[in-house]
Amino acid sequence: MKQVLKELRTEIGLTQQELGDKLSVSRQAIIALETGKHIPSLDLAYKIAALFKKPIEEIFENPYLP
Amino acid sequence: MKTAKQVQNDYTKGIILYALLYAAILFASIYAINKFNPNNFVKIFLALMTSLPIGGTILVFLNYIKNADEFIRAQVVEVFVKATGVTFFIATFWGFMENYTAISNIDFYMTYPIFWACFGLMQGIKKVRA
Repeated sequence: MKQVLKELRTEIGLTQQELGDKLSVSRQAIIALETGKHIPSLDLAYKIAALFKKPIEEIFENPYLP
Repeated sequence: MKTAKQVQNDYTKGIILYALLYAAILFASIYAINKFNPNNFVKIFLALMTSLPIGGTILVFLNYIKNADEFIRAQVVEVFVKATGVTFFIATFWGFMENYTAISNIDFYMTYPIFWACFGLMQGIKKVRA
């Protein structure tokens, strides 16, 4: 899960700070998301999905699916 | 909408401002009481003035957790709760010791600086563990 966000970010050439600015969150939040130390709220997950134009489950794996 | 950096800056400035205000009023009040030995009405007024900046720091903190992103909010709330717990522990432990042993007295109004010392300590521990 954590690698996907980092890959998507680097693909479009954004720094952690720039991604944070686009999502209105701190750089610390981006680091925590990329390292799997923070599970995003649904609202933030939607924002990230919209930014990368991908479904949420392509970015964040659903641990409740069999 | 404020950026994460602006929110952080507002918080830092607000906390510093009210902490300085608290310290200034506290020391000025102690000096005034020692120097002029005012009547009880003035002492109550000075006690109120010393306590008011605490409300300011709480407002700054509440504003911070309202405007900060969800990750930062979770972090600071956790640190705040832990610092509150440690402060309660210290106050209860020390108060009990004061009553039943010959341990020296710590003034009750020192709870506020003790809380912020605990807050700093808990924040430091969290950063080291991260």
